[in-house]
Amino acid sequence: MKKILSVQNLSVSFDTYKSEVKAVRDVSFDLHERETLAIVGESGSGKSVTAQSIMRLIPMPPGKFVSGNIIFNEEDLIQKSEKQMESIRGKEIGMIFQDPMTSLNPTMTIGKQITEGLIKHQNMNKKKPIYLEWSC
Amino acid sequence: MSQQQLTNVDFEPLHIDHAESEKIVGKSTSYWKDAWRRFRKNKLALTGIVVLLFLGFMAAFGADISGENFRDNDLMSTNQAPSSDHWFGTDNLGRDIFARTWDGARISLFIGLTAAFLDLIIGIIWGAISGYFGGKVDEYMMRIADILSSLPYLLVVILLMVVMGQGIWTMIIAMVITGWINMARIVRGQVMQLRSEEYVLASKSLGAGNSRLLFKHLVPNTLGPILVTLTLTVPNAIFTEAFLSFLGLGVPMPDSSWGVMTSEALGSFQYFPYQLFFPAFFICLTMLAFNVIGDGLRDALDPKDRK
Ligand SMILES: Nc1ncnc2c1ncn2[C@@H]1O[C@H](COP(=O)(O)OP(=O)(O)O)[C@@H](O)[C@H]1O
Ligand SMILES: [Mg+2]
Repeated sequence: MKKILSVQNLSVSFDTYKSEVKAVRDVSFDLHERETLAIVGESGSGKSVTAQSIMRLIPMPPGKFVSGNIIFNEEDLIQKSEKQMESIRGKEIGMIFQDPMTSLNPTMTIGKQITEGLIKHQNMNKKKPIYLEWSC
Repeated sequence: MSQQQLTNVDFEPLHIDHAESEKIVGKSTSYWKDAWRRFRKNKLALTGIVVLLFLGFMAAFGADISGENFRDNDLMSTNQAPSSDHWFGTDNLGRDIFARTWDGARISLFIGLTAAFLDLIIGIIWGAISGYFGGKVDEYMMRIADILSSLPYLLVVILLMVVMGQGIWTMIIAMVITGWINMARIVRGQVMQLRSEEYVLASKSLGAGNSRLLFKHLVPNTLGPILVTLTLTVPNAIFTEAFLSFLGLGVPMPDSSWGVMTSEALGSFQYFPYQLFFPAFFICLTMLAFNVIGDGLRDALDPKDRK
């Protein structure tokens, strides 16, 4: 099956006033089409930093890529510009955050926040209502 | 003790209507509605709003109510005490103090609101960009702000006056040159604190760009402190105007302002105290009104204090 995502020897560090925090050290994994990959580890082992690195959501500085490649659809995400990443985030790669209490903006309606990505990527009209369907 | 007969029916599970239990209890309220509900409970702040509305109304129409013109001087009736003819009396040139008070209110409020509004716009943009990008950008932007804020305000006024001449806009510009920095610092601090919030990251993960994150997500969340600062900026600007006019650096003749009026009245204060009383009273009233509103807003907008 087609390989969608390949993380190769990824190392991510944070520069702090004391020293360099090596949050992710030499992580490699592949993700194929129609595959579900779960990363399990104890708290602070670098799961979130790995996931955020793939989305390029690590604030830099203090964060930095020390080594490695993140190949997505045969292109290295680490080499992408911020503008290019904006059209990948929410369209090609999505992310669900842990804590609903802090992941939602308190001054914006839920509807606006749910449709934020759709409006950006699907050229949907802001004025026209967007009907979301789901089943439980 | 009475004994109760239990049957199998008693142990049947109760029917639970899921559609009913999932319904949201209580009306959903937006952040601003909720804030307004809390603000309304604060009687002092509400009084402040009423006083301000009254002052605003009088500034707009008050000068015409008494039928006197604020410029007309009647040298036959100078320095008259308040009477049915001249409700607040007349000054040393025989001008009606009631009409002058509200004409002055117009100018004082205009200066205060305009200066505060310009402070707000510049301060939000400057502070938000500085706080959001951080690092070198922040360093340079805040050093520029520091330099501007270290300029003595009076010097700026006097220099500007040499270039632009004495006038309302000279005063406003001089106030804004040094005044927006306070707003910028507050917005910057708030944005720095909020930019690492998860909802910013969440929106970014949906593909939102910098300007959207800044002005749709971050700035609305700083509106509380911004509004509170604003309610303190307006009376500050009004007071500064009064102070400058008092020094003779403010509003030029024949326009009046509360500062001009207090300054003119001071010379004859011992004989005609009412000439000083009215403008001074309205300066105090305005400052007080804005301050209690600011207090009320701070309480109402504080998300940690929800009831
Ligand atoms: N901005 C940061 N600055 C310094 N250290 C960080 C930063 N973000 C994460 N870390 C460190 O990286 C490590 C991995 O964190 P994280 O990926 O959040 O763990 P988890 O597996 O629980 O999701 C932790 O030790 C954490 O302290
Ligand atoms: Mg985590």
